[in-house]
Amino acid sequence: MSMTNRVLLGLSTVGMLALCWMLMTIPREAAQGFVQKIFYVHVPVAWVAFLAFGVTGYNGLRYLMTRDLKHDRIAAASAEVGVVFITLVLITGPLWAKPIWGIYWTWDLRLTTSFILWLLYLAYLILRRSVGDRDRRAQLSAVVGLISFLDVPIVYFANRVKASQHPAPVVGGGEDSGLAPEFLATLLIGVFAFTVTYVLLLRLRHQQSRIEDQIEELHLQRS
Amino acid sequence: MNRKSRLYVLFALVLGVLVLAVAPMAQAQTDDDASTPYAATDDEQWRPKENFWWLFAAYGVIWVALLGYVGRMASKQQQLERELRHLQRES
Repeated sequence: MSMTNRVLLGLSTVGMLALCWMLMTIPREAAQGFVQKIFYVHVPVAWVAFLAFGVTGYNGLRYLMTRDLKHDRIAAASAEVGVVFITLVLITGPLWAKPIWGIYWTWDLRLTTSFILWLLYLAYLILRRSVGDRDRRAQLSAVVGLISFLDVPIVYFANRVKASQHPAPVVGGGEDSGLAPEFLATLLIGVFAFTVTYVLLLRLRHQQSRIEDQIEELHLQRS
Repeated sequence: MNRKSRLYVLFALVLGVLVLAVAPMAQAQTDDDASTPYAATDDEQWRPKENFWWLFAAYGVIWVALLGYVGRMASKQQQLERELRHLQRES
């Protein structure tokens, strides 16, 4: 493992341990009790998914501009890690919703657009597996990655523009929003821990993609 | 450490500093915690133990999924390295 990856692994571990410590020591929330603590992983994991899809879109655009396959590899690696995180959002959300709303799922705007986001990036990954030609795959993926990213701001603003079953935003959500200081600190530690974990996973997946490309190249040379 | 690696480490450090800087600021954010949507409680009577299992399930899913993904990635890495070595020997 490279020095950078070791540093990232160390930061990720420290961040996760700090998050666990905060979760054990912060008080229970007044209205929801214990179960509100899902918030400290649900929101950071959603933030990381948005970041991952942003990285995919940006690198897709860079690929279309430069035709450098390095950008395609980063975009694909980020999409895969992003799908892992958005899947976790779609699992932890219902696990929080059931004890609070009484139901696991409802087709409101925030939840539906999040589900569509998951489907879009799943389609992106399936597309990559189904196109054989490397350049064509990179080109198509870049376009799909860019178009799919349009759903990210829709998800983000969904409960800001329309009343929703999903709670109103508590950070940057206007006059009635806000978090108790210790809750905000825990949320920020969660964001830090999961972001560093994402960067580490992205680097590892990208290194793997480079080996996959080398193998593909050798196969092409042989045939 | 090359330039790109240094950038990643710098990014992680900036994020860490940001967290450490914002946390104390948050202390001074508001005194009226009760009016915020998510406010702390000292009410020891409020113990919905049945909700603990939902919390346990959510955190369990996160750690199992992330560790599973890392494990899958590690085994795939070994497999790819083996295949690459094999192809390089043959060519």
